[in-house]
Amino acid sequence: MQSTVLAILAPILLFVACVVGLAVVLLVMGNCFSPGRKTRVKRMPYESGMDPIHDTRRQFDVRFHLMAIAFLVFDVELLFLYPWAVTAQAAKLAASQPAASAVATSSVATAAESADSTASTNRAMDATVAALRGTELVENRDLVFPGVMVFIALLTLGFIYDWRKGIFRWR
Amino acid sequence: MSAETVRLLTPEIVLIAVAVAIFVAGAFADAPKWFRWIAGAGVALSAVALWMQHGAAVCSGPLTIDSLAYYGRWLALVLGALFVLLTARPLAGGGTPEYVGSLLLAIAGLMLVSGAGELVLMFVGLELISIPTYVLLYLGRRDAASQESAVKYFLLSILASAILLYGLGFLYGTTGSTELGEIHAALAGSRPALPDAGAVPVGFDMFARLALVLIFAGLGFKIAAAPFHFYAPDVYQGTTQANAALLSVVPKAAGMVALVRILVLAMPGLEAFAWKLALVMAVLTMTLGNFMALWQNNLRRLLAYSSIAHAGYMLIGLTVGLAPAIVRGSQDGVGALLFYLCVYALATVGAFAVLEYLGREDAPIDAVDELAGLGRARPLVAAAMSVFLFSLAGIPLLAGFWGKFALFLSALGVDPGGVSVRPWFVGLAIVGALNAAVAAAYYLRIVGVMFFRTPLAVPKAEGGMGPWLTFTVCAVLTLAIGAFPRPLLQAANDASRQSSVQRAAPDLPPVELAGRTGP
Repeated sequence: MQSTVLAILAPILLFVACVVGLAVVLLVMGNCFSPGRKTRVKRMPYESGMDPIHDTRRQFDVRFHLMAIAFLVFDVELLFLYPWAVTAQAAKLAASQPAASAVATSSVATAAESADSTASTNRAMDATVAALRGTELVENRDLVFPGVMVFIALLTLGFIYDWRKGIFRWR
Repeated sequence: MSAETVRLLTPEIVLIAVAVAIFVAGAFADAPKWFRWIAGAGVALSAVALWMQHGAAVCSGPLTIDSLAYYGRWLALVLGALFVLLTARPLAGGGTPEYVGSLLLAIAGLMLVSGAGELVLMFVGLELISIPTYVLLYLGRRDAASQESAVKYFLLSILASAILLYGLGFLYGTTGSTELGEIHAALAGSRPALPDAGAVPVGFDMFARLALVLIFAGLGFKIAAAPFHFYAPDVYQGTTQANAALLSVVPKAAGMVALVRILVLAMPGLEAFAWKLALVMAVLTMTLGNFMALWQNNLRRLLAYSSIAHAGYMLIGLTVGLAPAIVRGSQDGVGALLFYLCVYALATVGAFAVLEYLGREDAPIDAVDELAGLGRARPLVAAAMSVFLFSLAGIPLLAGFWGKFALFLSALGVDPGGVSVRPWFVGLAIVGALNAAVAAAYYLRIVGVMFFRTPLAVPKAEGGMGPWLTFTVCAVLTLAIGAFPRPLLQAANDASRQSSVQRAAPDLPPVELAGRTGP
């Protein structure tokens, strides 16, 4: 049992070893062979092209954090719109082919039947999954648009809440 | 996800919509009193929605709406109503709408966990309980001790969520699905898990066990089971009575339902390993909780250890439930667990409501001694408190007695069935009974202080109508269940026996788990 687990994990372990090894080799080589002329200007931290005023490791005003969190919330949540756009497109395509649903259901049956032979197990399972996904999309195409509208409405409510609570005001 | 799924989720959607409305309205209007009423109306509306969709067990998308789901959701709504009543006093430093809204979200989370038939939805439900709880802990009181307890709970809860997620990840990796029905099929061997691994799944057993241990650890935090209980006493002591009541009931109910759903219903073939783990945790948890509670003087700390001990009693039911192939008894372990959960919740919420009622806003009741002479000063309140404490101690003819009775009966009902495991379960029941005797010491001590000591200073009892109603309702229900335990016990047993797992294809009916039903 143990040896078989190792056999399966071997490629991953090899990969990890290669990654770590390569990183170490590159760092060591860079240190040994680079010219390394260190002047004062070169050792300065780069800060938007301006001369640094002081050390960055100090307490910041909590207002920065509020702003950053508000930005993060809206920015990251808007990222969800991209997968939605892809799904909406797929649902539209599935809906434009009225037979898709029937085809999908029948291919579930055929896929289940052909799943007996071990050789085609993987292909059959893939087909089943794809077919199920297809039927699901066709069934739920009416929910794709309202779903994202609810999502955007909730975001807007959050925005209104933040606004009323005055976190966009720099006090 | 389909229109049917949305229909089944109506009660949760109603609660969440009302919570969001309260959040936003709170930013515009300052009317703390109204938000309670709106929240109460939301809970009532959600109950109406749940009542209307009552029907046969259905699986739709990520949901498994069976009798276990209905049991959990009704329990959540009853608790929701009690908590809305209990927190009827406006918060001193503002933030009432946020408090009430977070409360509703946590209740919605408990309902989601109860109905989840899929790992991702279950995790989202658990987080929907945890995240509002952080806000509740922060809003409860604004002193240093309260802040400390909020941060402590926040960090440890995140750690527990990460461990749980790690376990769920292993479960997904082992079985290739996040749906509990498919996980069940894969672990039972009726569906090839991991098609790439060939005919014999390699390391299958090992990773499934790893998943089980990690999930148990992650959920062990939610139910405050030893050795994941360390946060409970500090956090309860640092926060308000209402928050302590919420913490001792809602995450525990969610964790128990999730444990039943994942470990008992969806992970067959691991019983031989799982019940031993649960047994060790049960013994450890109840013994530790009860013995530590013996020398506590702070009431919330004492009740925190008591809540740990009760998690241990409930784990007896889980242990029996996890040994399905060998159960021959008349009482089913998971059914006893679910019954006990309800009984425990009523008594604990009631006890905290009494403390909330007796305390003042700036001076909550902290020490046991502050209750001295309550029996003479406020006999009715003292009587209600005694009902809760007797019920928690398991004195006969109160609800708690039937709870313990069902749990011990289920443990004694485990049959040898070829393997000699019966001594373990008999031993478990004996340890449970001994623990109940130890627990009686500290519960009766409080009763003694209330009735046989001269009052130091009579509590002002400025809690108001809300907490009074809460503990009255809890006391009446505790007495009623004590007198007529059958309907609730029947409901709990039905919830356990008829709970089902979802099949892979959506159009197949849910399957009953043949192995788990009684004789």
